[in-house]
Amino acid sequence: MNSPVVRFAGVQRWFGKRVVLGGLSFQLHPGQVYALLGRNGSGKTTALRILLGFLAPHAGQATVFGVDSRELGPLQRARIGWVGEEHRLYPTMTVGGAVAFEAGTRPGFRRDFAERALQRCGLGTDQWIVKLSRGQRAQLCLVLAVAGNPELLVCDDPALGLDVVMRRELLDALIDLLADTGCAVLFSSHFLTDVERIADRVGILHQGALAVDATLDDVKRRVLRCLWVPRAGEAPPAGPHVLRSGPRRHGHELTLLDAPEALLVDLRARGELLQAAPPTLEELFLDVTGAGGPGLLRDEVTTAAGGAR
Amino acid sequence: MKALLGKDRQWIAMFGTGGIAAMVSVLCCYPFVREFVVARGEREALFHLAWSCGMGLGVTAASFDEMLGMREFLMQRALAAGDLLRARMVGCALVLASWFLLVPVVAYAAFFFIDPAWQFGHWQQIPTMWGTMVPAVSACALGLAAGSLPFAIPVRLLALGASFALSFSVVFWLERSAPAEATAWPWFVAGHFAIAALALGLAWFGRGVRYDADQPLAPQARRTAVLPLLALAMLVASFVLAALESTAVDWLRNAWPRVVRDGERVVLATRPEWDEPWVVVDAEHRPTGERLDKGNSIGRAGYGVFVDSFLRVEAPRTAMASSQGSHGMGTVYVDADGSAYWQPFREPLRRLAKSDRERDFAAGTVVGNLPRGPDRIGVLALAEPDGNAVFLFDPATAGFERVPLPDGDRFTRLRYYHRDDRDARAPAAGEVVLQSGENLVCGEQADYVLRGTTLHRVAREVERDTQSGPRIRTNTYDADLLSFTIDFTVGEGGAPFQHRFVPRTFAERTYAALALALAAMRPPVLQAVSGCIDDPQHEGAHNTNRHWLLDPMVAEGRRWWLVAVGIALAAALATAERRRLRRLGADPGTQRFWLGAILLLGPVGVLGSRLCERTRAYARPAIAVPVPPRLASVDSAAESIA
Amino acid sequence: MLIRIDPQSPEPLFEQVVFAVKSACAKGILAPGERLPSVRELARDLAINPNTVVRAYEVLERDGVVVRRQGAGCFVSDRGSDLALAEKRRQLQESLRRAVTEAFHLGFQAEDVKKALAQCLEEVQFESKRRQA
Repeated sequence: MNSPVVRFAGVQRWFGKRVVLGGLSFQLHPGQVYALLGRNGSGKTTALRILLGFLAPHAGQATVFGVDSRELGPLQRARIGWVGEEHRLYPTMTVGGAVAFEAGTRPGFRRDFAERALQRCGLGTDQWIVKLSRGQRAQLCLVLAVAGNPELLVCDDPALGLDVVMRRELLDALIDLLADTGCAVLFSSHFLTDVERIADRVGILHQGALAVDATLDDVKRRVLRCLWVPRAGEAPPAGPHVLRSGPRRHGHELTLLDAPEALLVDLRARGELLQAAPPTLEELFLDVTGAGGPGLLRDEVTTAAGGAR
Repeated sequence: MKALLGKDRQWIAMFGTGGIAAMVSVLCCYPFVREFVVARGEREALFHLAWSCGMGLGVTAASFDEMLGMREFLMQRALAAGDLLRARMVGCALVLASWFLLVPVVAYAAFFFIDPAWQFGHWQQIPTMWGTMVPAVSACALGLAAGSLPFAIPVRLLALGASFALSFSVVFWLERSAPAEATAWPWFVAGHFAIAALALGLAWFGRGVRYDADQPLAPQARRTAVLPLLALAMLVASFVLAALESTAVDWLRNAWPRVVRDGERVVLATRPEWDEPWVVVDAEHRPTGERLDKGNSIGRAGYGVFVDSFLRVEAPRTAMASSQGSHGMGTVYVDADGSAYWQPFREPLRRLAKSDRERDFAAGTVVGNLPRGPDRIGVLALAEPDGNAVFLFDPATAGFERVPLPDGDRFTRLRYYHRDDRDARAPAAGEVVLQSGENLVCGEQADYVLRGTTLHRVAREVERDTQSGPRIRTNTYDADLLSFTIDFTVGEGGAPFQHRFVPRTFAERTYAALALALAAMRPPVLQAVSGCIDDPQHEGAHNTNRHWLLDPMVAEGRRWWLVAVGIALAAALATAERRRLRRLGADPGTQRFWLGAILLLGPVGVLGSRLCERTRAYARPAIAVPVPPRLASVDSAAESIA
Repeated sequence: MLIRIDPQSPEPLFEQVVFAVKSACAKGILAPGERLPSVRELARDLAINPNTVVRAYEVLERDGVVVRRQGAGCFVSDRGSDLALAEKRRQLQESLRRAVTEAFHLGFQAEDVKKALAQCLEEVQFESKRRQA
């Protein structure tokens, strides 16, 4: 079970002159829930499309179950569930038709499961898909993907455009899936609180590569965010442990990685250290991708101790 | 497969019912007898409807999923690309089968309600109905193949249009090569099925190919999509260049001076406008300053090239059509095989017998309405080819009265008589007066008109000669599109006139150069073939119907230098293009492919290469060396709790 | 059982679950032998990844707070912790040290910490107190 389900190795892809992925590498292990985060246009969708073989990479390789994404055959595809960005389903079908189509094109599809799940969601089999709301369509897509009993579920921003209730129901469906099958999930999302609940590991795509590829526990354990008000004349700290240092009205906002006790003591000696706490995912995301932030995370080539890959 | 057909249910049902409804309604435009009983000459409407429905079906089948934006959705199914294509083919086959099966059946049933002449039986015309619908199969396959091409939609539509016009024309010429103007059904059907097989084969081999503007074409795409498209482009380019070339030649012909007769004198002269006087020119086509107010041009000289004669999309025709004639009480039909039917108005059809002893007439029997006298009341008459009598039909008894042709003459045809007012003269005593617009019975020896129950001989009119004055026979030598010699003699013992037409003035040279330049752009491979073929028509003919595919300019090796120029041009273009491809970083196989294509096809190949091997596909934008993430957890199985 | 977790809290989710169960046991909300919610139920209730719940239960089992019976689920242990006393002491020391360090950085004095600890001890029903009740 140690071989990764998904493996991106130096994947590059551009559209015309615009480089979208400049060497994306990460792995997803069985049973893991991986959230791929990034700003709009950062290449999340492109990465997922490459993974599913809809697009070919210009360099590098993406593999699913050890098979190159360009050569995915029916056998591998049957083991992948996919919920696309726009929740596309045939508008010419009814819900029942969509279930029948899925059952007919996917061996191992659990029809009874799908029907029960749809009943729970309040979707009738004779409803036309064109008449479903966006949230209902999202649910239907997820149910269909999950009922195929996948070993890998790939969701491209499944919660986009859904209201809070719908999002929670989507989350429930996902939790059920994970509890039932322990399948690996790779999803992109903009809803960071959902990500914090469900993901084991997050990857933050920035400028075509991952700026962060860490478990959520690591994010909480190893990163410290604080406000440091220096005494007059004291310069902000630098070094491998300082991920980012942003000036604020009084002092500096520091994001520290694996900060040793000595550094904290030093900071206290040279100023006042306030609000030292691990960042929320949102704060980390802003630190990585926000204005003024990214340089520090990406420019340092040396990796912090323990964080080397 | 069942699920895939379920997804295609909508268009299968739509085209199934829509196609049947359209074709049945087209069939029901004519009476039952003409559709189901006697042979139709051609079913133009059905033919055009069948191929257009078929093409729509094919295009829809190929692009239905894509139009709904379901391409990636389908890719992610546990399906091979072949499964999808196969399902589409099966869907098309179902629709086509429903057309073939149900169109005759539904039309037959519809006639039961709308046509009192309906009668059980009469299946004999269904095969020609099917035959006429066969183009639906090939058009559907073309639509499916073109719609599945991995290129932008305009390219697919262009490919569809070109392949359709071309392949249907090829079938037209194939089936027409049989004697008579009739369709050779086996060739017709086989030709259309061959097109379908070819198109489906290409679609099948290219099934997995996808187009990505940012990546070079896959070798498979080059084989299965680019190669056929190049062949099509070659034909289209030949057609366009031939049309342009013929325009240039036309301009040259207009620029050349005319041969003008001024009494006994013959001169070369030009006339800028038709109502202006002729300007006489010398042998070098320079004006001499002399003007002629009067003068007859003895005709335009030079070749014309008709390029619009190849592309033909025409309905199949049956060898011998039925004949029909009607008068106030109903219509008599004689089928091509000689069986005759009588259909009184609003009453069922009745089969007629020739006589008590014989049932059928000879094959090819015709029906006509022959007036019995000046009161124009006519009688329907049947005449067998080569027979020595006509048979007058009596609607009361549904029997025939045999009227022999006088003097044992044999029947050839019925002729429609139209009286010209210039013929108006008092009839001689005892002469039969002809009505304008009545049918004459033509025998081998004379024409006859029916009066009462006998046929009377009428005088054959003299064919009027519309030419005024004696014609001048001109001889043309060394004819070519750009040069020829003409010589003739005016009147008895007049001075012979001879002139060699070659481009002499600036305008003439310009037009000739333009035509030559266009010829040099043609695909070298076709030019080389053109140089080897005979041009049997060129001697003495002024207007020639020729294939646009091969260049008459170089036929019979007349201008090998032009072929050489074309090849040299192609070689230069090929080298330049190869340099471009090498600069882009195309692999050697790609370079070789286009080198060959351009050498064979010339400028068309360059166009293809430019369109297929875009700079964008080979672009390599600068990418910073990726930095490993600063914040990274060590991958370990311990972290993922399975 | 009422567990509240905060995904945005600095503490990792599984530790929040572990702490919640431990405090529920300590406060007597969960009686010994009582069945814990299944992984699936708890994950749905909290809207968190079931893996996190599994991990929390494993930690709880390792710490002897719960016992897992194959096929039946997890139950609150009635034997108390299986860990050796020394190890228990070490853990207690560790968590107290952490709390005291925090208090120090927050600028409290030793007296304040002692008072706070006494207050916490009041809230928890230790065995001796339970017997008195």
